[in-house]
Amino acid sequence: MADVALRGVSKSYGNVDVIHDVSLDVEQGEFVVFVGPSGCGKSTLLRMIAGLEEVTQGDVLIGGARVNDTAARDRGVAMVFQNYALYPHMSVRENMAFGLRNIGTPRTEIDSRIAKAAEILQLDSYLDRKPRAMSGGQRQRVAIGRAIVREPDVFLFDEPLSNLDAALRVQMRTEIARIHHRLGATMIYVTHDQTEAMTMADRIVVLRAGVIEQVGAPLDLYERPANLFVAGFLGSPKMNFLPGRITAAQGPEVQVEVAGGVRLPARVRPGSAAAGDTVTLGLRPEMLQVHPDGPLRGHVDVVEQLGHVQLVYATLPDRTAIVAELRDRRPPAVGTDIPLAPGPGLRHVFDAQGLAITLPEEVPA
Amino acid sequence: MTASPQARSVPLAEPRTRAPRHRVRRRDWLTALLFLAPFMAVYLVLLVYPLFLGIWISFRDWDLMGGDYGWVGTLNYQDLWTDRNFWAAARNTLWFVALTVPSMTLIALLLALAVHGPGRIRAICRSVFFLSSVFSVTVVTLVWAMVLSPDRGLIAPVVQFLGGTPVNFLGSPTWAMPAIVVTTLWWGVGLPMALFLAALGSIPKELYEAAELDHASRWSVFWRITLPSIRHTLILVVVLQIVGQFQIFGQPFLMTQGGPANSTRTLVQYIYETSFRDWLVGYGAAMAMVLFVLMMLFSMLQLWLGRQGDDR
Amino acid sequence: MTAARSGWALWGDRLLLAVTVLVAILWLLPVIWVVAMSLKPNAVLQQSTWGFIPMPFTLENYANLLQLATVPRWLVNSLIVAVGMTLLVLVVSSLAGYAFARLQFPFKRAIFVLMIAGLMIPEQAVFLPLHQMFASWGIHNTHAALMMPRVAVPIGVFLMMQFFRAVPRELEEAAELDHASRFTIFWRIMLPLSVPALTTLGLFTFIHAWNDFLWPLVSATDADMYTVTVGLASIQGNFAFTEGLGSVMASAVFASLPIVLLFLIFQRFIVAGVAMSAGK
Ligand SMILES: Nc1ncnc2c1ncn2[C@@H]1O[C@H](COP(=O)(O)OP(=O)(O)OP(=O)(O)O)[C@@H](O)[C@H]1O
Ligand SMILES: [Mg+2]
Repeated sequence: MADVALRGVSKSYGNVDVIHDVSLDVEQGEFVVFVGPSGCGKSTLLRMIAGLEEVTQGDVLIGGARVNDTAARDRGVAMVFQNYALYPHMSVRENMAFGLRNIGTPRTEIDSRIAKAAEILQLDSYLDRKPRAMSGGQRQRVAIGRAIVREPDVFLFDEPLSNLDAALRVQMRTEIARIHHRLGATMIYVTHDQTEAMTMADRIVVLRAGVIEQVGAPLDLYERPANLFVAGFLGSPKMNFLPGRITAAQGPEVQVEVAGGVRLPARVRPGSAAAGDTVTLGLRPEMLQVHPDGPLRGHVDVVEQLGHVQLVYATLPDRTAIVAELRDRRPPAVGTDIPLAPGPGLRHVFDAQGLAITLPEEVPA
Repeated sequence: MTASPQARSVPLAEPRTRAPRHRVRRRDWLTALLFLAPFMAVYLVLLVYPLFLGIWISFRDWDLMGGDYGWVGTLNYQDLWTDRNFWAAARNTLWFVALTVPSMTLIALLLALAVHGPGRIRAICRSVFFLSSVFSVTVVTLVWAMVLSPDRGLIAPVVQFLGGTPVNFLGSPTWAMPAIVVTTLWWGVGLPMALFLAALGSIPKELYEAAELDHASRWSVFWRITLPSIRHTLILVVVLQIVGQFQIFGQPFLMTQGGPANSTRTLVQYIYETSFRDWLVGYGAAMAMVLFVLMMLFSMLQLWLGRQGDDR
Repeated sequence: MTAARSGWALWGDRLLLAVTVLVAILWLLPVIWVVAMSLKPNAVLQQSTWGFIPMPFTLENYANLLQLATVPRWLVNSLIVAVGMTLLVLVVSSLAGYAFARLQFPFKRAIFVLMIAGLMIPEQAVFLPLHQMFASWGIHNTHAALMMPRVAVPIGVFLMMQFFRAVPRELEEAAELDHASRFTIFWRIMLPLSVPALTTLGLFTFIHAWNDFLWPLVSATDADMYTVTVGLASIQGNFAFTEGLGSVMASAVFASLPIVLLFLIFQRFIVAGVAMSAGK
């Protein structure tokens, strides 16, 4: 087990800069998830840690030692790939044994480690099968098993679940979390699925265009996004963004005028906004409620019935599209106008640069 | 917006390096060298060097036993110009290529279309048409010399049965070359057919299904979908055939020995005879170079014509 | 292929298939005929060569052939040359193909172009200088001399490169993390995966080697070093008179047997291989 650190790491392909000056510390035993949209450089960052990609600038440290010039195989990391990358001509057992044989691990030791991994992953009865005779979920388990038997200091996962169907994905998600608890190893996990990030991570690293947008515990990021991008990326459905203007500011208390004249109170960090500033108001879909006195008039466009909740897609008078997540078995009809009110919960405020100026609520201890 | 409030502070003393990876890289080169060395060695010694040696020899008076009688400049090439046998051989070769390449391509395409598709019968037919190309030239010429024989062959009795007089194909200056062409077609159609089959197999099924929904006739499906889809293979086949058929040697050498009346003596046979019967290796090398250039020109021309079509 | 095809089109398909089968039978007829002749007594053949059923039947021609000693000797030569050449081509091409597909080294592009240019050099452009070189080294009339020139052909390298490129890169990266050296990756991962490609390349090389004519004709001048292909050519003329037609046909059948068997066993690799080499 070891910690991982990135110090001002950059990566360019020719003159295309893909990663810009990324610094990050991952603690021993931590489960860190990299999320971000496609092409933002998650895989590149992970592969630089693995040693599969050269670092253009900066340092990668594993267990405190600089590993920039260390070959991938000597870094003590194991990686699980999106397409599993199992050796198709080897049985499950041979797949797991390959790495151990290459470093001359004694036979008995190999066998006992495989037995242990197979037990953790419930692969006992498949050990002599070839990967081609297995399902996607089973293959992914083998890929994880191949990483486990090596007893690496750091586990790296590159979108390991994205080739699986939705149900299996949920199952494997908990399984990986379980393995993390059991082994207590450092794990870095790449995904573009914010649900995976929210559910699995000790800490989430949000990346955009090769830059770290924010790092923090899942709930931290959900409740205190540093900017519009993070706010929009985490949470499903997405946070509603209402363009607006500050009409009055007194200490932390401000009035934000949105949707053509509706004034909503909010709290910002003192001194971060003045009357007349252009801002964006962020309201999570689950805090919107239908209320007779609701100030926001929404014209209902689409209603999605999910059973436990209903997603109502509506348009405000200023043509802003919003989503409300209602818990009302009899949702409004399409084409009607409904009054919406922001219920209790944090109203996020972002300044003209998109940075959050919301006054954070005191976190209950 | 790079602010990451929670990112832990890092000691700034850590030097940022430009990642020199000399050690790793050097090892990579060495590995690559080891992987490449065996091929490069044989390639340079047994193909590249001989090519230049051949050019060099073609400017010298050189005999079969390696006897080198010195530099003769372009004399060998000048001799070619006035050598009637050479011109006859060149003409025969071109005639053979002109007869073989189009018919081979067409037959290969027709056979591929006929045997393409599912089913055991078609699979067996595919094997049959390919089978003939695994025989050696010696066996093929033996078989066809027999088949074409006017007294003991397979064709003669049929002709007689139909009331005609059997032709001595291989003994006739007019018919000898076409007979060799037929032999070559039978022998060589397997590979181009397999190329076409591979191309036909890679045409997406959806194209045909869409065409069917559009009520396209079979004929227009062929012209509008099949043919354009296998165009590149068509060009490939033609180029391969040109290169291959220019090198014709075994069939006439074994079936007619170049006769009758030199009507089937090809360039390679003439090169062979010049060098190994008359010992004039320098002269033979000059001819080999001319053949090489001819082949290059024709295949380039073909590739160029294929490109032209791409622009349209 | 599709359910909704009209009756006329269906009959058209059947007619086409019938014609194809007929052509295939005609195609095979010369081979059947030759095999039939090889199984008839020479005396009968002197009367008439017509007929596709070996009646009266005899194995005498094959027995004669084996007593003659030269033909089996040529067969052994052919086997040695073809097997040797095939192995050499496989080793050399897969190593170099891997380097071009996956290794980084200086002047890679230039070296690759140099190699591809070699595809354009025909055997006829180099067989004379090769003959001179081999003569000056004094290695004509050896098996090595018969197999070496074809090992230098770049098409195998090209084929293997194409194949290796299609192997997912992650597989190698996984192996790298599994502490495998370059050579281990090549030997334990890439080669086992490329068995189909190797089979195809091997098959084509073997057929080529077996049927090679011009080079063995000029290189092997000693009758003991002939390959079957050249050997048969050398006896065709006078053999027919002295030993009879049946024996000539038997020798042709005998010489073709290994290659035909090989073809029948491995034929499914041929179309696959052709598809691969055409870059599909
Ligand atoms: N070999 C390369 N040469 C040039 N650019 C590259 C190369 N590899 C990746 N890139 C670029 O680097 C950027 C980051 O790629 P990366 O694979 O890390 O994205 P990602 O975040 O993993 O995306 P995804 O979620 O789609 O996997 C992309 O814009 C990509 O186009
Ligand atoms: Mg990725």
